Amino acid sequence: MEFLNGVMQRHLRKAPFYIMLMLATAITLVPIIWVFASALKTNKEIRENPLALPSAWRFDNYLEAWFGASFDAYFFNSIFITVTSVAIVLFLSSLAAYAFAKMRFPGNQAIFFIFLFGMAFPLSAKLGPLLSLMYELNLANSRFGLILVYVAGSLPFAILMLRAFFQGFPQELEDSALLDGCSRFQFYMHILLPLSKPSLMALGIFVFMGTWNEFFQALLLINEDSKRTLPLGLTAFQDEYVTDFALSFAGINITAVPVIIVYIMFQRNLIEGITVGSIK
Amino acid sequence: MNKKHLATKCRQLALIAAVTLLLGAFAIAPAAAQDATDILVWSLGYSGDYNETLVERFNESNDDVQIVYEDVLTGTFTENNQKVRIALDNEAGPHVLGGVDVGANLQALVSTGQVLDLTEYYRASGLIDRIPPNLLSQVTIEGRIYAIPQNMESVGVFYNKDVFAELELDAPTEWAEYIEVLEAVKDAGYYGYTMGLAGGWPSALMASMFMYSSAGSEYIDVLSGTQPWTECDNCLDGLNAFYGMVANGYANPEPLGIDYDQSLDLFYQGINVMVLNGPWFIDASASAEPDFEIGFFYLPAVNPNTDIKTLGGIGGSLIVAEYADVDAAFKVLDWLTSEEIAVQALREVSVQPAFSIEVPDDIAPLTYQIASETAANVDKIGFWPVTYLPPKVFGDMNQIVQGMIGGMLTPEELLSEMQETHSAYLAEN
Amino acid sequence: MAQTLSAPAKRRSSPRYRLDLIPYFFILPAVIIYVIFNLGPVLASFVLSFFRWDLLTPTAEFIGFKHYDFILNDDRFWGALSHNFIFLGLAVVIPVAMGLFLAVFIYEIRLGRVFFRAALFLPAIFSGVVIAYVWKWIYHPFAGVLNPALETFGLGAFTQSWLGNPNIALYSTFIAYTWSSFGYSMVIFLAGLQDIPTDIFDAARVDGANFRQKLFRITIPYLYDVFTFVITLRIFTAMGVFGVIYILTGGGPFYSSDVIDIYVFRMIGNFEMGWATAAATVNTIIVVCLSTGFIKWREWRSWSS
Repeated sequence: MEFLNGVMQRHLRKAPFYIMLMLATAITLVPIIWVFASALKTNKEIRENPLALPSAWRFDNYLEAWFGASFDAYFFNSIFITVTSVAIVLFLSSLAAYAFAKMRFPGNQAIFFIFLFGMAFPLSAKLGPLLSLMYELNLANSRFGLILVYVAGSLPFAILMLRAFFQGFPQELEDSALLDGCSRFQFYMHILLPLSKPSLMALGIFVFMGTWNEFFQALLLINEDSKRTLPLGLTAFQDEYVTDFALSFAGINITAVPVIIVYIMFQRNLIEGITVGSIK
Repeated sequence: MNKKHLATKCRQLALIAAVTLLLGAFAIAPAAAQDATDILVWSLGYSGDYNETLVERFNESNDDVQIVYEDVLTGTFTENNQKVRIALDNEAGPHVLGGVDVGANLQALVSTGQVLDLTEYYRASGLIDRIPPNLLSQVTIEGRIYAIPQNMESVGVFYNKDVFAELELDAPTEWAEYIEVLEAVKDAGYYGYTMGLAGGWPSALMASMFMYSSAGSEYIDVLSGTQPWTECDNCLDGLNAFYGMVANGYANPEPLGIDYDQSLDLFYQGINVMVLNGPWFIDASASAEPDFEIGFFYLPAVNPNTDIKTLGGIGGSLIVAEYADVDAAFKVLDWLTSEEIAVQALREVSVQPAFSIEVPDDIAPLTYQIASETAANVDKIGFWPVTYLPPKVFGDMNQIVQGMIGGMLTPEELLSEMQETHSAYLAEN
Repeated sequence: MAQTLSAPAKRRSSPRYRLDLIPYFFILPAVIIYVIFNLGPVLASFVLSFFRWDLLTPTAEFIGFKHYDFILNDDRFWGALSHNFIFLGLAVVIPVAMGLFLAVFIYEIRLGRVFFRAALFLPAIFSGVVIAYVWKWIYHPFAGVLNPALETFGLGAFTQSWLGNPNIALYSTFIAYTWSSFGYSMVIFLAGLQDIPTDIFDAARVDGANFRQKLFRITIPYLYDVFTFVITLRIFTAMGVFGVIYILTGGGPFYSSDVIDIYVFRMIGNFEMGWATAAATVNTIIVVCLSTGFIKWREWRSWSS
């Protein structure tokens, strides 16, 4: 009896925490659920009863957004730009982070600091000259140009995070590999990279999210409809003259779903990546 | 063993990445048609889907010239204009561009020398006889013609015919009658004027139209910076008329809280019974499937002494980039300006041509009404006034008009605020 | 071939010092891309703000502080900056406090930890565009969800035009910003909490410390560095807030929710590059000073105590 009381009491003591957490969860989840539900409604339903659930499961809106409003093209642009950017960022940043973490050379600290500086300034600081430069180099209105901009934007954080990780890497392993006649590049390719898979994964997810979601540089640099990414397509689509509530909800979802899937699959890696990069 | 496993995994991943890159490279490479000249056409217009089917037809029936079509509509129209300007300037843009605003925008494009002089083309193709003089004057700069007006946007009032019938109202032809209609509609519990002013352009555009419809060409002088805002009494009358829509309760509430698209929905729902809009609204409203019939009348001029029949003007014009292959580009122009295409555009997406055509009578009644009224009044349908403002000043005007609607500025204060902003800009440039 | 195991030591003691070039090859590709497409434009922004621009092309004509003169005399610049500071003041308190408390709550419970962490972080993964559109619909005065919800709960008096009222538009955008960002702070706090040795909490429990005492005596002091990081992050995001406001209000109505980055973006959109680069440079200087000043102050405080 005494024991049971104790358990009950302990759980009751936790009750306020649960109530607060559930309240907060409602605040985060309800709008998301509402958007998903609204994409299944007709315009009339949304208009007349915005709070109600859809009367039937209707996926026409998705089909129309996908085929009618070119979300298929936007989707593949987003995938191509994001995957390529992530691959390049992972390769370049791990290469550089290895040098910063493990090699001694004049300028190591200074160059690393220059990279760190890249995290401190607001986006607007570079937009004007960047736009000018991209036109100068004939890289404006090009997916390839956008990839370069995204890679450059992601490098500071990526190098910071991987350097912290590589610094914790046992020195003996490298020393013995180099003794065995491995070049440093071979060590990097065959030992360091395979063993860093979890952090590369975490970083990759992080860069994926950032690149997939990026909007303003794409807005400035991309003109043509066939080269738009999803966030850009979403805004262009909203600016057309027809009010189509349901279609815009479907567009929002098409943009958000891949991120949600990646998040659900790699939630642990992502959060690890954020916290490793921040606290350590 | 584990290490080895990881290494294989990594190699697999690398392979996948390589394949993705390769595929992507193929996706980027333009689908080049052999021996044909590609003409890159950009459109700032809103009938993207329709344009694509048009282009397909052109490409099927032509071997030597192929059109590569791109929609480039994003953001506000000043942003679009500027993007195009920059792309042309850097020769990174299209060869033929549709949907371009005339006025200050065309002047800016011409001043950088990137736009082809079309005067000879006009003569050779006979186009010069098909475009009304008042429209031609808007695309003529120092005696040379640089653009081809594509379509007319004669803005007028679309109204809910059912409610008008219920309240026994007729379409007004004078400003005083229009106010009477607004009063009657308001008394019956509806809103007469649809207003959605959130965002970067509707406030400036709407206020501008009212000032133009009161001051006429005097307002164009104001926009060009040759006459001070504060000394244009007719502008103030127009502004007061616009403000009156809110102050007298004709407009829906919360105009600053909804954007233009969202405000249209109030009309479809039958809450608002009139909406100021252009011919593109015919198609847009049809796809919204309202359960009432829609009628149309020209918004009467605030000041009957101006020579303006209704608001609006050239909707978009065609220009050719200086770096384009001239023969191929002209072939595209011939086709785009042909009567056949114009009639088809009118029939299918209610685009009102800017050059004279025979309006066919087997089209939708509303389209027919607007097309024939536009054709009859084309010499009295003037300009899109705001295209005469520098983009920065236009953006500021938009915010300042919001300030008036939000009750933070009076119409008089708006004019002096505009004067200050505009002259500060002109002083710097 | 007598080698010591520690490679760097070998190099230093080597009598014939030769510069090892290999590290530079490792960092070179990253440096090139970073300098051309990121750092370069930032520095160029600073330098070119002193030159006249011809549309998108900077000219060689040096005009000194002329652009700054215009910017610093523009009421709208100062209005935008003051909104950034309002945003900053709110952002270092509200999302941070929410993040902290929710992290503590999650730390306290056993069942459902992973679920709550995942659910509360969820909004942080979305694009600013998606967040802004979601909130645009929530705030919609007629078809939105917020006003009807308020009426349902008997709070009809609070319904209004959330984005159209110049007095509250900025705060409405702040709510959307908070919705998307408190999860980020929460996750970082939670990781910090899990680094605190558990025996300290156990000892506190034995001593009969209540929730408040634990929070103020243990948690917050132990999370000193985490706070520094989280607040620095808020300085960056609040001074650079952009996407949410751009789509929700575009800085309006009547500049009431204008912030610096919107101001700069509008200038860029109108190809007023001189003013844009000048305003961007002023903002960069403010952000760098604020964040480094804050970090130095925190370091100094932790040293002096």
